[in-house]
Amino acid sequence: MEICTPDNTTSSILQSAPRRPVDSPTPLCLSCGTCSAGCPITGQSGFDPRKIVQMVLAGRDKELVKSNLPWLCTLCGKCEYACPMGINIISIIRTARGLVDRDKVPGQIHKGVELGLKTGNNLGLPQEDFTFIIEDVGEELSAESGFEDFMVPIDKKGARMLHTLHNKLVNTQNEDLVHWWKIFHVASESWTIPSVNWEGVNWGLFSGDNDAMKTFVDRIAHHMQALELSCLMYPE
Amino acid sequence: MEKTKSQFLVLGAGVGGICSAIDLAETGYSVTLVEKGPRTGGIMPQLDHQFPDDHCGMCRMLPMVDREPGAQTCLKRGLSHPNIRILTHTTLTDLSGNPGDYTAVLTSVSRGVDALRCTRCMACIDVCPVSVLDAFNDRAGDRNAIYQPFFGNPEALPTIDWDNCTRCGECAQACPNSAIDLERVELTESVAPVSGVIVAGGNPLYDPAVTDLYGYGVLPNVVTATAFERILSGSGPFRGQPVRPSDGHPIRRVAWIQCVGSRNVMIGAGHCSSTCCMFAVKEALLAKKTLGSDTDTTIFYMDMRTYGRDSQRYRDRAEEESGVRFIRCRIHSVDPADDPGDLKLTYLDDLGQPGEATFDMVVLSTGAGVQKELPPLLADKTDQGAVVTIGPEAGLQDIRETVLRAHGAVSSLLEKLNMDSRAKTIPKTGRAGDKSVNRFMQQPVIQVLVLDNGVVKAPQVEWPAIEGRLERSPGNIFVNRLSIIDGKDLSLELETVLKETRGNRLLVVSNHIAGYRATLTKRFEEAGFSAPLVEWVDLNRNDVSMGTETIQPDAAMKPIQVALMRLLHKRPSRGMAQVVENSALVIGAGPAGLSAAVSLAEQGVVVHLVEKEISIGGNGPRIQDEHQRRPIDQLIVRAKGHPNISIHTGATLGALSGRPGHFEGWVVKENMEIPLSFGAAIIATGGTPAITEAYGMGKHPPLVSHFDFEKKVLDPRFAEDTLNTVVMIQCAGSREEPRNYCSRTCCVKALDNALRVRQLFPHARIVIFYRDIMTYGKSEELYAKARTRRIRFIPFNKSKPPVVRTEGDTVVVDGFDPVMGEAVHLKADWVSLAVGMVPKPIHDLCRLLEVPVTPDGFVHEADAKWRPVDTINPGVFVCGLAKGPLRADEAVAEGTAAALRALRLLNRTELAPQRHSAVVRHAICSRCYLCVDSCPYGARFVEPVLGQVEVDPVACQGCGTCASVCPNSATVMGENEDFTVMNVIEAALM
Repeated sequence: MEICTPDNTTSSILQSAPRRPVDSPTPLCLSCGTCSAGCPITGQSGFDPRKIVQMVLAGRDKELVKSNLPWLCTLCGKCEYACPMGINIISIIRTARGLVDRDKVPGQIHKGVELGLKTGNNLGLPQEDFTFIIEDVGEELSAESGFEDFMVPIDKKGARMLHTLHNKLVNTQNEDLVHWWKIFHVASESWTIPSVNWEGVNWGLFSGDNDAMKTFVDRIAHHMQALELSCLMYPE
Repeated sequence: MEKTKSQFLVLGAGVGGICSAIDLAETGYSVTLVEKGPRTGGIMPQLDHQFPDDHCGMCRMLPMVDREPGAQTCLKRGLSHPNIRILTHTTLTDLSGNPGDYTAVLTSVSRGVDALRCTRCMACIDVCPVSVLDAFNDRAGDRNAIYQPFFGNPEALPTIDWDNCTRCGECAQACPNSAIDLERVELTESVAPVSGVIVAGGNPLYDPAVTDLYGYGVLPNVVTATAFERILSGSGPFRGQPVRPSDGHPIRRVAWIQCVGSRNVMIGAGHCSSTCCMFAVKEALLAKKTLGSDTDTTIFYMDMRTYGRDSQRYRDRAEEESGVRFIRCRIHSVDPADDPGDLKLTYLDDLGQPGEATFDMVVLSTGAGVQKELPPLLADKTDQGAVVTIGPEAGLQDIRETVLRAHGAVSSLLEKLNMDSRAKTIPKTGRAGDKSVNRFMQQPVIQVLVLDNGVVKAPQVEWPAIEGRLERSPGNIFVNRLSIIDGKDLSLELETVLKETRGNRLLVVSNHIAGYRATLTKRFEEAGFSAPLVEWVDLNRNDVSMGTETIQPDAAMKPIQVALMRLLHKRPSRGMAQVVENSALVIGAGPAGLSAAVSLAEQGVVVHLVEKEISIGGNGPRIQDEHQRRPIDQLIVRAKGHPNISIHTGATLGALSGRPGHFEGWVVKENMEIPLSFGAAIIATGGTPAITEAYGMGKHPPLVSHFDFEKKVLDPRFAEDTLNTVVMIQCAGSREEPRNYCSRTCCVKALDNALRVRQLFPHARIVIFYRDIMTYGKSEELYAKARTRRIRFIPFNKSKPPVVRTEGDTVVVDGFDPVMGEAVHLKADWVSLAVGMVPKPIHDLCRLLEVPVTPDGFVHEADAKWRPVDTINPGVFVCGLAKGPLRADEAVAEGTAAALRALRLLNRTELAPQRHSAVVRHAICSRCYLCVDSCPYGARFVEPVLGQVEVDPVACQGCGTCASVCPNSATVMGENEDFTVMNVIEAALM
């Protein structure tokens, strides 16, 4: 097929993808293969990180955005870690994801982001259910010897640390919550869990939705200020 | 050898330092060679083999003409030259004064071992309890805190590694001769006057321990290229039986990872280290040779930088004949495989498919590390011209480039100091009429000096019995015994013996002589016993003493008889010393020839500059870039105005006779024959763009060579047209048979052209099809710049080049992009082909000068690495495009280097014949001329009047090839003829 774009083609991905981890121009890419050789999923359904960089350099944004290539990546960052030219491979892939129509974002991620924005957590768990589960687990813990005076501190103003939660800890694996809490208790940590917007996973990162990502971050920042906290525990 | 009082300092005793020290010494100056480390040689003693002939070859730096004073065996084991003083463990701590008259302060650290007391028994090393990673083996082995820095030199002194020595005292206790002093002492001396300084600090290599990607330092089977060469080496940690370091398993599968520490902007290494590609190919072949031809050797690379004239064929042979695998993919990281010790690499193959392979060992091709800054002490003085550095700005260099830079540094230093060394030289020993030569002419009378060493616990010898036997031996023999006793000066006694002796040959016999040799050699020399008149027998050698405390007279007499026999048969050279004419012929007035001519003329040599064309400058005036052209323009002006240069344009060399030092011939100009005589000739005939029919060159107007394209781009009218697409195709008609060499300049020119087009047409599509981008050294940065300016690079394999065709009036290029895995069709306004360079026809000239030519028509230099501007004819030198493709600035540098090499010859008033030269017995010579054809040094020629074979005793190296091909035994090897050799063997067997 013909290269129908001249070299000066403006690629919006190229323009907008942040240059991270270092400020290295993307065209510096050597196509040397370091990223592809190290990528754990190179070859799966035609995935090849250097190809994605070359597509963007050739201005083939539309083609990339239309394909499923951006969604095959795990964003693990192994490619960038070794790239001799400091190319922003992860940023490019995230930016491409951001350009995909939201209804074309893979179901699970799309749903999670939507629910997160609407309800404050990716599961869409109502506040009263959340409080019930948390307090229930807390009560179970206080039945154990040595933890008799344990209580889950919810919305405790002036504590030291904000404890956000991975949603699966609330939903299916809530017995794992107590491991953290035991440590906090024994260490006499001053901490708190917010009653709303407690989600500790930012799926805006994975969906490439920068606005959603910012909203999630803003919520946490808001807790920190409103509850006058100085330390954040972010499980993912 | 001739000597002046001018003295130079050379800092650093690696390849560059040794080379420039020998150059200065052979040009007639005395040199102090200063080395911070414990030994000379730099990285060379660590490497056994060099591309392209897979030999070491370091000794080829030693003088070939009048070589007796510098004669020695192996530069890896040390260096000795009468004009060079070597100081190891020493640094320059101050330099004051002015150019031509500096005072240097040198600070030496003691070795901890007394050279005169140590008998090299090595008991100290055996008892040392400290074990450290051996830098000599690049951490692939251990050594003690007291160690011998030269491998395989039994006379080398052990030295203490002060950083690791615990001062436990075990070694001092074990030493039978109290030769060890555990106090580290610094000694300072001042050297003056120093005319100039050459800084040859070398380049450190990148330390892969600073990155966690390759597991270096964690996975024991991941090693550097240097360490792998040590592992393969007979002198390495496995003593030539290489096994995998982790578990001693055989090494069957080896991978090389290129560009470790290079071409990586993330670690501040945007450069290419220039040397690693050929190093890896050589090492892969070496691995197959040492470990078995079925060893799996795989090189993972980005671009194989085979930019040297002979490199591409070497690489192709490695791939096609020896089965070395080349995979174009930069490796991400090294992982342990399932089996302990095995290593796993993942990569993309040529089709972009993921692959995985397991290896026994992974070799990291580490490039240049962080360049050391020049200390302010020296940096302040580089502007003055008398402190010259050997190209650290160019980064890591291979041997050839380093040698060239060393020659160039010496040349520019001498030029700047305006040294007319010939005017200042004073004759030294070794010339006709001096005592040594007269002694040689006489019937042998042998003075035996028995030196009884009472200082150390050397084996006891029954001297009277030995003396008795010596006196009873046939021939005129006189014996004197002198004792070496602690604190007693040998001077007077020795002086008396040397003065009063009737002997004209010396035989030194001692129970331990190491440590005294250099001083004694000098004393003998002063007394008229030059080195060839002296034989040495050190009985404290393991092959004689066998470690016993007393040596029986029978055992002692064997080596003594051999030495006696050798002395009895020693002969002076039969040739005559040849007068050297202080003038040179330079053939070709391009950048290289002009540079050589001006450099020689500046140093007082009369130069005849002969140019075939009607104007001088060669390709220089055709260089489009003004910045690159200016130095050539300046050389043209300097050559034209120089009183020592006479220029003959429109002229060629018509005939030639004579030998190095004195040639006669004539140049033909407009049917006139102008007679010329000169001492040396420099070939600088240059080259031209190659003519090729590749890609249909010549059939379509938009298809042009990259030279013509450059002209078009620089034409102001170029910018007035519209332009959509420019395609460049590299290696058109080159890097494949029959023109299978890289022209070295095309990639950079393509990048320059592409960047110029980009400047004029910010929106044009510019595509470069390439096989390997050859931006070695700093030019890698130009490649990076081109990428950021959106020049597109598409690699192709030589079996699948892009196709150029026409569609009506339009030229279309069809290619394949392996990264995208898709075909590419480009409608091009211009297609620029990198056609490469070819040499000017030189066969006739080379026949006249008795210099061989390569299959590609380039002048064959004496040695591609170690003698890059010499030819096998000691009076003929070569530089520039005539011997291989290169840039104009490199040609200028080579011209300077060739001038220096010629100057080494021309600075002498006469050339002494080689003592070990062949002689022809004309009476039994059948004139088959087999010897003339087989002489590797071009030292044999047919005398035109009588038709008999003559030997040039200056050029002859005494190798004996002629004697072995002669069907009639009509060639004899001077003192090494059958009769002598048989007598010596018999003496040894008696």
